[in-house]
Amino acid sequence: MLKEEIRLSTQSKIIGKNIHTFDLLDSTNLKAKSLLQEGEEEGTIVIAEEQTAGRGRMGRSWVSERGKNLTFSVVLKPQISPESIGIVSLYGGLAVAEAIQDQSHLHPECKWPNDVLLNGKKCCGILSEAVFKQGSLVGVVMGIGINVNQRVFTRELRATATSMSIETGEELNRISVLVAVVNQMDEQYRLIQAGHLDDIREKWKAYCPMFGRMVSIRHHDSFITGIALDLAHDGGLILTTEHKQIKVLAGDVTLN
Amino acid sequence: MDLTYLKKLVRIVEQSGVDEIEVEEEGLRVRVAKNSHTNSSIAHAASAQAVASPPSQAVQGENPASQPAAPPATPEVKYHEVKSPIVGTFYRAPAPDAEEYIQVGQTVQPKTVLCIIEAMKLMNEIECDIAGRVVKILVENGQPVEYNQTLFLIEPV
Repeated sequence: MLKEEIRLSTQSKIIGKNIHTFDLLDSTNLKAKSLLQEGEEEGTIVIAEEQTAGRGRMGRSWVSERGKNLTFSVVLKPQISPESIGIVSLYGGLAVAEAIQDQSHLHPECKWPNDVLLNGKKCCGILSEAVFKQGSLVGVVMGIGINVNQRVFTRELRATATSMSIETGEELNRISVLVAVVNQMDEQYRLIQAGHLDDIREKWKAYCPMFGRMVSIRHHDSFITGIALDLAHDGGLILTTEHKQIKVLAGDVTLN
Repeated sequence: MDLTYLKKLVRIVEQSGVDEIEVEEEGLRVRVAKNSHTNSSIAHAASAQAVASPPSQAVQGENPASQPAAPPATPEVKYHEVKSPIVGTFYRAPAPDAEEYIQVGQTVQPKTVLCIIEAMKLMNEIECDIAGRVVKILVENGQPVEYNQTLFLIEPV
């Protein structure tokens, strides 16, 4: 992928200021994290055509067909208090949803906290890793995998995964999609840096169909059911159960 | 689970021979204990926190005589405490089948990753800030942690 082409196409000020492209990498998050540890400035993007150890949360692997999709990581230094760190998860999903909407006639949906769905199936995975030192945030590496032109998925993934190309029926220009994501990440990032976290929450909510509906949340072996009411200040999910309101910070949401 | 119900639980424990009682309802778990050495009453489900005052506090506040929850013993001052900078879920390893970051007795350096705290799918690596030896790990894998909760005791070297 031509980094000059990406650089020239974005209007981005912060995100994508530095771009490192690799044909083959173990994991873009690992590379970006080591750059962050060495003092890399915010906005740097690490892109790989192919990852040998692409991964998701809790060591799950992220499978992506070479040359078809986008796998990249972004170095962020959000000026955010540690208790509001969850907003960063919303931010990633929001930027991707906005970019997909911008690049297609599709209607992406955000799923709490950081998934992006097309027609109920996952088309984007985000793995955000933050580094804290002495109680303060050093930075966040946000790894983003977007299924752009992949048409074939394994049997296990077929029920839950999709791509932009499957949903539109067309081949998309990957660089255009990447540029749109970078531009969106830049725009929303500036909101975070200016302290406008409420704008991030409100924009995110507009992409999420869960509010006002009954949802179930599973976290390890425990389940909780209630009506999704709102996002809390820190991005947590406020649920109304039979007896009271609670705030959820972890778990997988299912619409009932 | 309302306050009256919690009060009833406390009364049952007070008036009976049992040391503690644990009730789970709709994913919310509450433990009321006489023994001051047991952990604080807990109330969590899917790492949920009550938006209003959590039941654990209600139990303590309303029934001081029942001694349901003494704070954990104050760690000896000579140990360095590593605290949680955020609210989330504590993990000792990067993946369920992966090796744990550190063990008790292990020597650590500044920058050694001690654990992960997950909040809203954001994995927060907590690094050690001094050189030393791990004396105690105060939280179990997969348990929710609060802001500023002590996670590790490190003996400086």
